[in-house]
Amino acid sequence: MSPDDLAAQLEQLHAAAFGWALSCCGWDRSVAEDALQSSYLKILDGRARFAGRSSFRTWVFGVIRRTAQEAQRRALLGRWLPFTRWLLEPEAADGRPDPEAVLLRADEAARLVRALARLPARQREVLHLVFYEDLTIAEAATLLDIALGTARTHYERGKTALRRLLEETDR
Amino acid sequence: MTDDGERQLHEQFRVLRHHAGAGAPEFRDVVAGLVRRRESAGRRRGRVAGLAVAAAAALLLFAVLRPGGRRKVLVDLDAARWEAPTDFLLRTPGAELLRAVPRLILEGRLLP
Repeated sequence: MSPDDLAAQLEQLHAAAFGWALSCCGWDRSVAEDALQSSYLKILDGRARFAGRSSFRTWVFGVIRRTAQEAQRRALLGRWLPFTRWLLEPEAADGRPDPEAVLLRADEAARLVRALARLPARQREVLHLVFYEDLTIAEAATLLDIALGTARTHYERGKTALRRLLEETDR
Repeated sequence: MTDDGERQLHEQFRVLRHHAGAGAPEFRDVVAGLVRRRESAGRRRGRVAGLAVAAAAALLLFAVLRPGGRRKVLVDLDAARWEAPTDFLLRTPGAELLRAVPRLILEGRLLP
């Protein structure tokens, strides 16, 4: 795939990819943007190569997930060792409105984000991929590198737990 | 979970997607940022390399210029005698016989 084709395909996936990056980074915009940009860089520079073992979308989401984990580790390191920020972190984000702030304006969305944050990571990831990204449970299982049965279990338990958490906040 | 409950979740995620999408950066901005990012990665590598060179130079300077120059010998090794606490175990009965050359006399004659 040529770099132009890659860029075109990434552009099509961009909105969904940003949502996934937000989910992977605990809805922290700056970390999510950093992770998304790093992922694009890996893909466009050829450090991450699409081997065709899954759909392009599943593969891109996998790259974002791994990169988000790296970004979070870096953020944690930066918190403990402030000097490493100067060495490791990219330039600060621009002055665009923070989507978290945008989200918090929408009460329903904020309530969902808070409830999702209280779920175990695997359940949160499966629910996000299925409900937010409209992936099938099988695609989510491939992306998360877990068995289909395990993904189904996380999906069912996650749904039940999420409903309960949302009802709790209703009261 | 009922179908109704699932529909409700779908609706809540749709709202979330709508709001998250509203705050998403433009793709072209992200790609434009990649150029800056490549440059900053280069600068970062430069910084790390610079720091490594500076640290190595500082270590070298410290090794060469530290007060006193060479390490002082605090113990006069020629005058000192050290004995291990377990040396007595090596002293076997009759060991002195091994340090002297025996004199063998046969029929009143000293053998060479």
